[in-house]
Amino acid sequence: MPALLPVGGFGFIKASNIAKPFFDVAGIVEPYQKLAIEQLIYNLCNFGLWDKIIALYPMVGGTALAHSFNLKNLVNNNLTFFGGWVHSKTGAKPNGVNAYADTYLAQNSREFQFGRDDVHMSYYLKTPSNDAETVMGVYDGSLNPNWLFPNNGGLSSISIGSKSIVAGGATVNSGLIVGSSKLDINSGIGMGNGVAYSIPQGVAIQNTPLTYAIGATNFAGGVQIRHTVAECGFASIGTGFENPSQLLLLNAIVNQFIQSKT
Amino acid sequence: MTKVRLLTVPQKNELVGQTYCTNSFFNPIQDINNNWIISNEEVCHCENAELDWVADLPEIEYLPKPYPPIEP
Repeated sequence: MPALLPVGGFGFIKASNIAKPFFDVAGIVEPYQKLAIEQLIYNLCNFGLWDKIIALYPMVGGTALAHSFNLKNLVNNNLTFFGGWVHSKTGAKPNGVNAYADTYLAQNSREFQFGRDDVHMSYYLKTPSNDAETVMGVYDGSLNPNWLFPNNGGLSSISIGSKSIVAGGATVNSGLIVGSSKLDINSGIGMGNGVAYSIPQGVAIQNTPLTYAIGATNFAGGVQIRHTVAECGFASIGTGFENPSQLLLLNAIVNQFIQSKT
Repeated sequence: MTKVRLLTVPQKNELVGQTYCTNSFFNPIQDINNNWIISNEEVCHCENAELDWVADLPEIEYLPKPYPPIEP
C-alpha cells in the first residue's frame, strides 16, 4: 500500500513545492484537498511513477477552471472543456452527447520520447459508462486506435500502442481503468476492477498529430466520437509501464487519492 | 431519452468559439438528421449574458449519428 505522507520530512517538502503552484492557479484552499494532492505527488514520486506521467488531471476544486490544470506541468496540456460537462468536488461529468476535454497532447508529440508504442492512459470512473463509450482516446481512423472502453458489450476493452484486447475483463463500472504499451515488450498491460492483465500484440497506431481527448475519443476530421457519461475523478497520460506491479501501485495510489480529496 | 436543444445554422455559427462558462466552450454537433444541436448542460450552465437566448431554444430528442466500427 502507498505510504502515508511523512509530514515534515524531505518527501513532504518536495511534494509541497511541486503542489504549491497548482494550489495557486487552481484556487485550492481546503486543507484536506491540499493534503490529498501532496500525498498523491509524494506517492507517485516515491514509487517511481511520477516521471512516467506527462499529463495528470486530479480533478480537484469543483470548477471547470480548477479541473483544467495539468498537475505535472502547469504550462502545457491544460484541459479545455467543450460541450456539456458538470463539475463538482468529486470530479467532472461529461454528458455522453457532445462533451469532451482537449488535452492538447498530440499522439505524435515529442513528449512521448520513445514514440507511439510507449504510452499509457488512465481514467478513474466515479460513475459507470454506457455500453460502447470511450472515456478517453485518439483515433485517426486508419489503423489501431488508442482508447479505453470500460464497457464494450459487457466486457472492458483496451487498444493502445501496438496492443489491443477486445475482451479485457469484466465491465469497469467504477475505479481506475488503465491501458499501457511499452516499447520492446510484446504484451501490453491493462487494468480494471483492480486486476492487471496482459494485452496481446495488435496493430500499432499510426503517428498522428491528433490530440488525446478525455470524455470521448478525438477522431479524424476534427470530430469526437464515443462520448461517455462516466464521471472522471482522475486521469493521466504518459509513457508505458514496465510491469503489472506498477499498474497495481498506481491503482492503490489513485484509490487513496480519490478517498482523500472529497 | 436524452433531450437536446435544436439550433439553426446561424445560431450554430454564433455559438462556435464562445464560452458558456469559464473554460467551457459550446460544442454544437449534428445529430443523425444533420440537425445542429447543443446539450441541456450547456444551456443550464450558460453564464454568458450575450447568449442568454439559448434558454429559449426548442428541445428535441437526441438521435446520435452512428460511430465508426470499434474494430479497425
